[in-house]
Amino acid sequence: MQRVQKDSFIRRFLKKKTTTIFLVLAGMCLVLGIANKSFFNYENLASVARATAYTAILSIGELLVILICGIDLSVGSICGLSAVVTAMMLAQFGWALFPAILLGLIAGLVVGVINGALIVTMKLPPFIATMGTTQIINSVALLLTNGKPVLGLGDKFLFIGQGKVLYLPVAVWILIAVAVIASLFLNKTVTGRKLYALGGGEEAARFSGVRTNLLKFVTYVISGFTAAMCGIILCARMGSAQGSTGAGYQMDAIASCVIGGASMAGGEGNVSGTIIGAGIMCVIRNALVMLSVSTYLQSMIIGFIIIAAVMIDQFRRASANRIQKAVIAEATAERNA
Amino acid sequence: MANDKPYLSMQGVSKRFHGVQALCKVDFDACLGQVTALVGENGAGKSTLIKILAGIHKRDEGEILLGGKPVRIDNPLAAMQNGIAVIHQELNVLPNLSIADNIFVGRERKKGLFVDRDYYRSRTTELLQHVGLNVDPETQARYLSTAQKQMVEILRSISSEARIVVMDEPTSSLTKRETDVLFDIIRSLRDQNIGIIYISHRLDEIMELADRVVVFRDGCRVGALDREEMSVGKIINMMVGRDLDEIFAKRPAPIGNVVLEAKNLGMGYVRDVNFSVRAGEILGFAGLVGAGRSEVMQMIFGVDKKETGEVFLEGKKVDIRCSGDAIAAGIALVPEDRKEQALILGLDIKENISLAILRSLKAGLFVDDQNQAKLAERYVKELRVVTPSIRQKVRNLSGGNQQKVVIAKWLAAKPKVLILDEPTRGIDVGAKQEIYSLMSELAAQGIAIIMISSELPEILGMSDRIIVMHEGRVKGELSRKDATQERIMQLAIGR
Repeated sequence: MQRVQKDSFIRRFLKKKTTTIFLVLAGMCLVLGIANKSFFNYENLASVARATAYTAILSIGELLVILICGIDLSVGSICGLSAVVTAMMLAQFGWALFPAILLGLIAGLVVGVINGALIVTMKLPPFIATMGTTQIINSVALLLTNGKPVLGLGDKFLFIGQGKVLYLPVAVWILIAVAVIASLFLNKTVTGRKLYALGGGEEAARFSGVRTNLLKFVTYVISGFTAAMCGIILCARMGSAQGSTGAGYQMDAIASCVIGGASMAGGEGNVSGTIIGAGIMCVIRNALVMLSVSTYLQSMIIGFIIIAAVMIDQFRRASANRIQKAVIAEATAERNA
Repeated sequence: MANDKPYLSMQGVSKRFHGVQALCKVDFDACLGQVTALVGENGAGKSTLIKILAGIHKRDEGEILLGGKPVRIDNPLAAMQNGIAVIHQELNVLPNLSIADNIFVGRERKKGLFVDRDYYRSRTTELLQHVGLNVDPETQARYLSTAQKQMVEILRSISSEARIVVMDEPTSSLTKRETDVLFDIIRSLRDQNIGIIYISHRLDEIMELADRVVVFRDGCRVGALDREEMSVGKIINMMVGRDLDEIFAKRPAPIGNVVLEAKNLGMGYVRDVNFSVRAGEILGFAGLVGAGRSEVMQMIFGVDKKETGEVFLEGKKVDIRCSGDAIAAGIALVPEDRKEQALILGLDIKENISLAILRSLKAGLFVDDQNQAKLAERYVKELRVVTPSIRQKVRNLSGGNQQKVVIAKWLAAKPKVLILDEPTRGIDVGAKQEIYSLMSELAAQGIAIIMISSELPEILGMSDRIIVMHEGRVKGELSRKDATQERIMQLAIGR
């Protein structure tokens, strides 16, 4: 009994995975601040926060899909499509701000519906289905713009990506709203709890009255929607839209979830971890620029961090299981005695 | 033919898992040219012993002797090299490989740089003919039936020139005919002076096949019987260490009105299933594996789509399209496969117990954690689930406690009809007894209970009435007082 407790002291600390990675993020910021004072510059911090915000919004949608043991590779291309749609409505058709954004979001929803239909109705593996839609959506976005950037979006629109309210970038406020809604949804609503059940075991969920197909479908639609949000913010930040906006962002989204403690096997992961995961990615990118590390090194370092994060998580999971088993064995022995 | 001196001898073998003594200084031996049966309740330590012999688990103490010489078996390869082949309950056939590749996997034979395909083909054809299986050796294993896959495993052990072949519950998913073929092969192996260790809980099979039976209980060896002394009664007595009446705590309950009635249910090979169950009644469903019993229940519960038929609940027709409808109507199903169909292993006890009735635990918009916790605490206490807390992941619980969590989930939904599919599979005697007495109690509260079971003593011990199915149809119905093992078996095999 003594041994079990001694063992668990450090490990119990590690067990709270969100705390761990939060400490990692804080540590990184601290080291970086010491290495280069201008990191703590207000403008720099705001820019890191802004990047974190749109990456995190994208990742939260991806998180839902990963929770149900799926994957959505199309989120990057949805960013591009929504950016292009919104920008074209604003610049070329002279639409007002609100309807233009709405149409951009609807574009994301539509792709989500297509993904959901392919995966749930046609029973395609999610990896393949969303890889296919990625290619198609990419093409659509490029065709729409003829490969040229769309400019002249108007200051009101740019405010979403560049402006600040109460010292915080607008994007951060949007993230806060999305994060609060998403974590209430996942932790507190019936549907959210069922999502975790579905990810932990599809058969068992189905046998417990969970409408698994409907739930899967909805998840892909939500992922399409958050991707569209990310795309629109990104577009407003850059002041232009291109077919290639957001290309490759799906990898950042998946990495944020995984660094944040989500399991690709489904059923594990949370919103706060994912946001911190996105934060870690963006701080590293910022750090590499500030410390003027070669851009060629950037992806290597990010690659190492993803692998290390997952390795630590595996270790944490294994030791948590060991401890739980030992505790149960003890309870059983006590009862038998 | 039988060799009287044991070829394999395991002496004083012990094994602990997480502080639980799974095996306590047991001796076990087997002779060449004999079938040695190993029996015991679930959790008696049979599988642990076999896994030690197969090199999967490491023993804490004890020795393994082969032909009088001590051997080291630290991994599965060492077991194979020492001539020990184990055919596990979960078959280890690789579905994406051909039969020939499956037989030679791990012992690849090369000609020059490459695999010797011609040899594979000719040797496999020869082996297949040996067991009367006329299929192309290049057939992918995924297209084989369970029985045929098992044959492939047996052929693998024959071709590796094993002296000892261990079979763990080989007939658990075979039909009667397939079982007969298997028995012929086992006898022919025995006559080729191979030692067979046969694990089964089907005592009729053991009576038919075994030259000797060794009985385990609670991690210890209780004793052994030679063919002349063997009888079903004696074996049961040694296995359980108490009388059957003591285990099946069936108490008579007042039987009320018809609660659930199924008319003409049909799907695939399941046809024309009619039956009804009354409040307070325990209705047993007997039959061989594959008789269609689980399919019937899954149709009623709405997880399988029925092609024909209707379900009536308290006289009213109910339209059930998914399991949610069934739950709302007051039907609950404890499915056969606990880990796949019943539990979300990665979630804790609290989440699992509240899963089916989350909607009723809401406070305002959100699910209330306090409500969930209260519910879980209550059932953990009532059903005596052994766990340090309700926040424990169910993955780490023992089989018996997991099953209690599943039952708790359904009791929380306040069902009128509780369907239990193999409710005591893979759990130890103590937990079994608790589940039986719980079933009695629930029946007494007026719940209609349907129990599918492949264990005849369980069917006979617990049911008020027994329906026997055979190849998708109801073959007969027996009352508690008319039912005997023989009558059920006759109906189950379609006679």
